[in-house]
Amino acid sequence: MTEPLYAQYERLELVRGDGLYPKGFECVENPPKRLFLLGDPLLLQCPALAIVGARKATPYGLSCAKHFARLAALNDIVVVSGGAIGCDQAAHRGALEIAGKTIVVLGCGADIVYPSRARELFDRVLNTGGALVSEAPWGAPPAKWGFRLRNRLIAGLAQTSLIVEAGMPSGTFLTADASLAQGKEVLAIPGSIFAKESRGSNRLISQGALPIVDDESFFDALEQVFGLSWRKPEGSMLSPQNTRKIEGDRAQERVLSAMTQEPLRAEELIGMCGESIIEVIRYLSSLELKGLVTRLRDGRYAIARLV
Amino acid sequence: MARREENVGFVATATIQGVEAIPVTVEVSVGSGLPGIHIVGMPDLAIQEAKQRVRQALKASHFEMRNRFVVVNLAPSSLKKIGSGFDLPIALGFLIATEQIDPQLVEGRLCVGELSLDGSVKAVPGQLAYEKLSHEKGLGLMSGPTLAGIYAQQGQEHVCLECLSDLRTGDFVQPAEASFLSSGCRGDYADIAGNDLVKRALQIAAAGSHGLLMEGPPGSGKSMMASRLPSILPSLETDESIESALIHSVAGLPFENILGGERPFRAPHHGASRAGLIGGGNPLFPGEVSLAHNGVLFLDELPEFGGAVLQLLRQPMEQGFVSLARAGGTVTFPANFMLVAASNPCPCGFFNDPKRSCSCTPAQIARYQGRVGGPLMDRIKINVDVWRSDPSHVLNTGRGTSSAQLKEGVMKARAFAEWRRAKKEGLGEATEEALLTSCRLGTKERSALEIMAERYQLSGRGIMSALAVARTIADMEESEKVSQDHLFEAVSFRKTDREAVAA
Repeated sequence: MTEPLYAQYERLELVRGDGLYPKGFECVENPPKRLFLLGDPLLLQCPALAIVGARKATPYGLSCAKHFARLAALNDIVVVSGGAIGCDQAAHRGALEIAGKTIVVLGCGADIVYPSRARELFDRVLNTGGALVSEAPWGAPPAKWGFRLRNRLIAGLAQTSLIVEAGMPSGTFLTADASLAQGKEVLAIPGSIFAKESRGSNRLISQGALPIVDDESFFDALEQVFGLSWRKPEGSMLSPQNTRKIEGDRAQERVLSAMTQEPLRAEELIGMCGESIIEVIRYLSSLELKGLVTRLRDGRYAIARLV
Repeated sequence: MARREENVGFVATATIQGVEAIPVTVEVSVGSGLPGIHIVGMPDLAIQEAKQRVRQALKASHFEMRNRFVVVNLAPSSLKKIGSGFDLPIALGFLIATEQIDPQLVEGRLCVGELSLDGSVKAVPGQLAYEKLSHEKGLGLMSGPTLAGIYAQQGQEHVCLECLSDLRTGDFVQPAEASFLSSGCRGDYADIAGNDLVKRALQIAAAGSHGLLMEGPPGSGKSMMASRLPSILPSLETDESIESALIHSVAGLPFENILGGERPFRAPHHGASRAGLIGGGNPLFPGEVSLAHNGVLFLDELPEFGGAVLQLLRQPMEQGFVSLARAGGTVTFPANFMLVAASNPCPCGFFNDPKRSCSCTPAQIARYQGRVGGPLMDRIKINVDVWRSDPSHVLNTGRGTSSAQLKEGVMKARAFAEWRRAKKEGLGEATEEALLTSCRLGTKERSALEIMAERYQLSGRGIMSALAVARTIADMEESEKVSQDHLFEAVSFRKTDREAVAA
């Protein structure tokens, strides 16, 4: 590396006991002695919501992460997440979309860009007044255990955690567990009981996590945790009466509602939007072109955007 | 061809270069001098060893083989000669030079064969190439006992010599009758239940000879799918079958099925070396790409093949042949094959498996899928994901779409494409411009294509691939115009943007 990354930002080290050292860390397991930070240290004292989810996320999980991050940022709540591919990055981006503040808690040194493709995202986080935080010293390379440990810090910085999509074993669980261990409320977004991507979050709900089923339930939860009177977002709200209107013919309606349950293979849609595989793939492509559905990495089709 | 000169025997024979037989004259002079056999004229090691075989075979056949000074010249002397087929002509030349047999026996015949120490004659690889040469030269063929090739059926003289002593009586046997029938035992697509999407992809690939990549977890039936591909391809035309059979003949592999019209199906293991895949070695041997000429080359576990080896496939895929530059000159093997590849989606193989969880990180998966390399992936026009069938489906075999049904579409498309090309200037779709013209896109289709290109971030080559596939789909429906529906279907077989979901 020819030039140190983020040279224009001051590198801060917060020692346990400092005034700036986040109070929330006093109740995490094994609080870090030192905290390394780029960006605004005052952010660590602000009301914050952790939004975490699987890396191998579906468009459903990504949409949820982005949507609720945006709502939180709109109410000046800092969005905390891990910067990982998938739901984490979607959450950061959701907050950044309305120039909200967001904290990335890393498992490697705070000046190391990991995953490497997140450079542009991390730059934006810093430029919008956010922060990159780590308990690992400057320049520490990424290691698996580092990322496991940082999950407790994500939970520690936030007053509550929202789990958007988690499979069934999942690192996301560590954040939920840490939150519970710190005596904090856990929020979770339910998914189809047939979707393996949502099995973890559904399980959390059955174990007592607060289900977030629309904007209202989300704001109720925020009110309970932060005691704030919430600010309504402009435009439509996500509520049972007001979900995105699916326009078009009945076949399209049927296909899209089938995909809301879980991503589907083209073969599974035979009979629903075409009599043969040929008709089905042509139809799906036309929906894809309209931006209504998207093809996942494994060849299944899912609804492209929910909000 | 044989002339009688003082103590010199002339016999016509040939050597193999690439898949061609090159005429060679064996001249044997017998005179006085220090006893021994000397072979000149760029022989390879196998020909040098002919000395011992010829001597023992002649002795065993009770010909007189007194200590003589024998010089064997292989003309033209600047040409490198290879193979053990020179044993017989050398022995014949010696017998003519020593007046032990009638020169009429070799008159007008091309002689090739290997000798055994007991005097029996054996056929050598490249049978068909020798036949072709003698057919072109208007000669007969004398060889060891073998099956009759395609030219013998057309009335060419082909005699087989069982052992050298038969030369005394001139007793030749006729080559054994061969039945050129396609074996037809490759299985039928009806054996595979479900998986209609993959079958459709294979059908389009077969109709347009497009490269295809199947991606799916282990045990999802990728190999089963690929191995049945010849069952939906049209039979080989006569000249095609001769081309392919020649290559197999030179490689010493059976070619009866190919002459019967069956397309070759080659599935080299991923440990294949460079020479094994594209040809090489000493003597020069055709590689898998050439053995798959006019047929299917199936590469299972594509990312496991060495990256450098895979890049070698680019020349044959673009040009339909491989040129191997050697010290002795450049040899060209035909290699016009249809590439079918299969790959696991990730190192552990269970990326999209509904039942088992994948243990790979997104970065690992990206790296694995990146191993094949862009240039080769660009030449694969159809991408399809294969899913493991439900057990209930598997037990329900024999009900799937059958090969006959699929082949109907393939034949229809090929016939229509041919008609279309014949009607036009005959340019085909070789150039991008010709392809675009042949699609006859309307305004609606053109704008749809533009939107697709933008949304899916298709490269220039990606757009052309989609068009080529759409053209084939339109051919299947005997439509001169490529419609929006055809385009829709074609883009669904594009390479999925592997980054899309993570963003």
